[in-house]
Amino acid sequence: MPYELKLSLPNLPKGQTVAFTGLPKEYANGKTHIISDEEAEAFRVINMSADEEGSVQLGAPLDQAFKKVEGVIVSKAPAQAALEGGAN
Amino acid sequence: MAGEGTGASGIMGIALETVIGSYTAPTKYVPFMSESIKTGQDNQYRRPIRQSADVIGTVAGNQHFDGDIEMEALPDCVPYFLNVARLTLVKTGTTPKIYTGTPTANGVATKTMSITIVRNGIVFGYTGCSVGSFAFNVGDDGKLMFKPSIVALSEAAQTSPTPVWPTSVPFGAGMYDFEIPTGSQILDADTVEFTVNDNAEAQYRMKNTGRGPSFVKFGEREVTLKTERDFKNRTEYDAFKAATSQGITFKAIQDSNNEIDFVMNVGITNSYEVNLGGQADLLRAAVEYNGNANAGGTSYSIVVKTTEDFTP
Repeated sequence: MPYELKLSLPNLPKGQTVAFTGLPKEYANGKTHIISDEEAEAFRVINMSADEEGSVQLGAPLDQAFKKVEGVIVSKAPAQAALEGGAN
Repeated sequence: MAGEGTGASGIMGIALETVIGSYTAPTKYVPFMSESIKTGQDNQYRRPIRQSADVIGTVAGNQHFDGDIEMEALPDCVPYFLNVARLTLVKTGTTPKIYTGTPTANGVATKTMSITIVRNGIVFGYTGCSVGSFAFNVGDDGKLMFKPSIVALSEAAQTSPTPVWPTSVPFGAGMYDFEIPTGSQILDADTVEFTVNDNAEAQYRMKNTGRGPSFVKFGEREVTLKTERDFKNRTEYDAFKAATSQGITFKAIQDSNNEIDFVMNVGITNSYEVNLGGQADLLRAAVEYNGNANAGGTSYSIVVKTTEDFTP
């Protein structure tokens, strides 16, 4: 199920873009963006970590990764948005 | 425990502190080229006379946390660092916001930031950070770079942050208006370095709450500007010999919403070097100016135009 990424960053004007390591695009402040399943999985892969024994741990899911980031709200996308393919 | 890592995974986040020295999680993430912020410790090695020629023990001494950050002069990031330097930053305007920095005579750092640096997944949280000196420079690559020197009060492990990266771009070739004197644009310079050094020093007091500094004091301010210009006449050379003062302005303009200007109010040429190096050498003058205070008591000013909106 895709995610909704809502940006309400207090230090930026509406329309100013930001980027996130692991997500493919620049995202405009003041808008809600749909993150597909594939993009969400790629986010976890790009943010994975490896310990000195070589064990690999996937990065946190999108909603967990941004849980404490002010102005970034990530939630599971409604089913309707998923059917329509989402729109940024 | 993390495996081996490189600088590519690094993160730097900053946040203005409401209480000096109290860690604040990042609110702004800064792309940077390098950093050298380190922890030093003045261990006191004991050598009492007691039938031994060796150090018999160590007493942990004062800790200091300082270093430099090399970064592109991104207009949305630079004002945060200016805000914790020895100047007053005033915000005006709507779009863009205009941050005007005016130097002060403050004796100690009164505004600080927390700087969070992630090195190979390990989080270092520096608190009570102030900027003791900073420099803007344009080198051979044409990019405007910014180099703040940081003095911090403490460091501790913190929660790993999730960065929100800005998409601002640096200033580069074709974006500069260099005026010597102010109002007269010159087209014969290829490099410039503007440095403000407030000679910050960590101050230690007896306490039982850690071994870091208690506060940071500022010293005498030194303002300099260096440039290299094609040598075509004696005008600047004669002004150097006569110790003639002139205002100097440098503007980096990307568009109406992104600009950094720095002005040396009263520049006195400190050195002027022009020599014949070889048959094929282009004749150039290496010039250094020293910034003096104007009638209002200030030696320089900095203006940053950006859409970034924060409360100085």
